Parts: sequence; C-alpha cells; structure tokens
Amino acid sequence: MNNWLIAFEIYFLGFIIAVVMAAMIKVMLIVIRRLSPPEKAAEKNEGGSA
Amino acid sequence: MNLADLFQGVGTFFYQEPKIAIARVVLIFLGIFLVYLGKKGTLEPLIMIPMGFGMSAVNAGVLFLDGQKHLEIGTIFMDPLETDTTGLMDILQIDFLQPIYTFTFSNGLIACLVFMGIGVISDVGNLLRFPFTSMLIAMFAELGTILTFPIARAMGLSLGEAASIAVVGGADGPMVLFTSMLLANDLFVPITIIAYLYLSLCYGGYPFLIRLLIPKELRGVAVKSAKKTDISSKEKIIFDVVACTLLCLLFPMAAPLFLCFFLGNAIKESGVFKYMQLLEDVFLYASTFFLGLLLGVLCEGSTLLDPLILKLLVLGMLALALAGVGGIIGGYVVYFINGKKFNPTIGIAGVSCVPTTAKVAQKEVQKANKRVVVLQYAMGACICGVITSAILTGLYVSIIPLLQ
Repeated sequence: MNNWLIAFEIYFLGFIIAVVMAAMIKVMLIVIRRLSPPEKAAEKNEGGSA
Repeated sequence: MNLADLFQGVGTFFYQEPKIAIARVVLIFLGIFLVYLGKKGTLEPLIMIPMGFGMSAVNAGVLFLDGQKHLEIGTIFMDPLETDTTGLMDILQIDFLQPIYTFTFSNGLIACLVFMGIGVISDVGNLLRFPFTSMLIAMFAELGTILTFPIARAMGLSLGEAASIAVVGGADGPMVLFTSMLLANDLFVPITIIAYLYLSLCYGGYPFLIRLLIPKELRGVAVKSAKKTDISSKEKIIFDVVACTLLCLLFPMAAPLFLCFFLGNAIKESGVFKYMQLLEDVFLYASTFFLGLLLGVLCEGSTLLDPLILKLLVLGMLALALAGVGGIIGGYVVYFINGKKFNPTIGIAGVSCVPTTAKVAQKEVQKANKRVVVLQYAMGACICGVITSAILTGLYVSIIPLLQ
C-alpha cells in the first residue's frame, strides 16, 4: 500500500475522531447544564443554609 | 598485572574497537555538556541533569566482565539488550539499574506514570471552553507525525520504525516510548533518546520558527474576547470518564496511556489532595528522574553505534519542525476563520510539549505586544495536542501491525 496513502488515511481518521470528540464535548456540556443548571445549584445551597 | 586491569575504565579503551572507544569519549563529554545546558536552563533540567550524569558515568565506567581474559567488555549499570530469561535473572541481581529498566522502562510503566503526572498538572477547562478551535490547531500540529512517516519509509525504514520515528512529531515522550516499544523494539533505545533530546530543544528552537513564519504585527494580535464560560469540576470529570472510555474502546492498544492521563486529571478535579500529591510529587518527579537517568545510561557507545542513528536524527528533527510549521498553519486557519481576531502564534501550542509550547507562544506574543495574553487559549491547544497525539499513536499502533 502506498505510504502517502497510509499516512493520509491515518490523518483523515484522526481528524474525524477529533471533530467527533469536539462535538461530543459541546453536547456533553449542554446536557449537563440542562440536567443541572447553575441556578438549581444556587437554590439548593440557599435551601440548605436556611 | 598490567595497568589496563588496574584502571579498567581507561584500559578498556585499548581493547575495544576504535569507533566504540571514540564514541565513549564523545559521549562522556556530551554528558557533561548536557548537565551544563540543563543547569543553565537551555534544555529541560529535569531530564538533562540525570541524563547527562548517566551518559558520562556509563561511558566512563566500562570494565572487563571476564576478568583478565579481556574478551567481554561491558558495564554493571544495566544491559538493555539481554532477552534470554536466565541471563536476565542473573543480570537483575548484579546490575543496579536493571530492575528499574526491566520492570518500568521496557514495559512502558514509566511512560504511563509520567502520563498520570501530566494528567494531574493539566487543566482541561480551556479545551472544554474552545473544543473546536483547540482540536483544529492540535490536528494541524500533527502534520509532523503524518508527513514524517512516508519520508521515513522512502529513507528505507520499515513500517514500524517509520511510525515510531514519526510519532516524535507528536512531541510527547511517553507516546514515543510506547510506540517504539510496540512497533520497533530494536530501535527503542535510539528513538527514545532522540525524542527526549529534541523535545528539550523545543523551547530554544520554536521561537525562531514563530518569528520566521509570523510577522510581528500578527504576533501581537489580541484574541477577540469570548464570554468566559465557567467549567465546573463535575463537567471536567465527566469529560475525563467519557473521553477515556471512548478512546480505550477505539484504540485498546493505547488504552494504558489514555487511562493514566484521564485518571490523573480526574484525581486533580476530584480534589483528593493526598492522591494529587502522590501523583505529582512522587510519581511524576520520580518517573521523570529515573527516565532521564535511564536514557543517559542507555547512551553507551556500543549500544548507540547503529547505522540507522543518523537517519533517525534527521527524521526526528524533521518531525518536530513539521509539527511546528503545521501548528502555525493551524493558527493561521483559525485566524482567518475568526475574521482576523485570533493570534496565529497560538498555533505553536498545538505541539503538545506541555506546557513548554504554550509558554513559548505567550512569550513570543508578549514580545510583540505586552498587553496581549494568550496563555489560556494556548493551554487549551496544548492539552488538546496531548489527546490528538494519543489518537494518532493509537491509530499507528492499531493499523501498522495489520499492514506488516
């Protein structure tokens, strides 16, 4: 198999995985914040201290 | 009794091949020089001081292993080339560094411990704030890892050897150690030594590359300040777990490194102070110390005299140079995508020599414009570079054996 082709395929796969990871990070942050937004955490703290 | 038997370190010079004797003298002085450069701060002292000492000591402390027969010459530091089990058990009881070499270096444990320590001192917050920018820059910085492979093949290296030297472009010592151990065991010693030597030169060499490729006015560009999003520890730990699991699923061959990095980072974010102290103060510094010492002791004249060394030296330098160029190209790409409101110098931080390249980027930017601070963006790219290096390492160690 052509060496440049091997290199290009590895790079291409790496790029895809990197983009997927970046998208996963964005989605993950949205989901976490929707499930437990910062205001809910602040309310819990206020309730606790009262 | 002759003087050669009395002062064997000197006497062995006369019983060895001339080229090995000359190599020993050169390496003794090189070792001393590396200690000097480490002390001065030109090269990374954490690695260079033990490495330099090890290098000069192992090339000076050579003796006749068979008494007065003068046929077998070696040292009582360690034998990296012994593979026979019985012979290895004998050497483990005689050579003082052999247990550390056999049980931590040649099986990749020391690389994993260093990676755990790197995880503890890393902050993935900047990566989570700017994931696409960081990943883009880091992937451009992997150009060195990719372009060096076919060039190495054209120079006559095998698939495994070419992949191992190409990974030097990822600027990650543990990755290089790991890859060459799996794919090019015969060249494990010289490739690792070359990688660590060149990585220490990054701090000195990359500023020149930046000044060559980026004009001063662009080096001083301020980054358009995005609204700073707070990233909580909970979010960072979730990222660590998810990313670790995903990458281990995709690349089980590189799973030990993924586990160690993300575990180290998760321990940092969990706030377990005793564990953080253990990983940072004990694991990281002890591993780095012994890594440097072992690398120096591996630089024995007879071990290093391999005809491939010159090719590896050239390819290693090429890999890191291309990585720097690639990172800067990535910086330019983001600069244009962001409507010229990004500093292309940040691109150099995509080369994952944590935190050296991020510091280099900040230093060069500040020389052009004292008011501009880019460190947080640079660190995001730097940490991302560790992850993309791990991805490409995982791809190489998974794909190359299938092609052999």
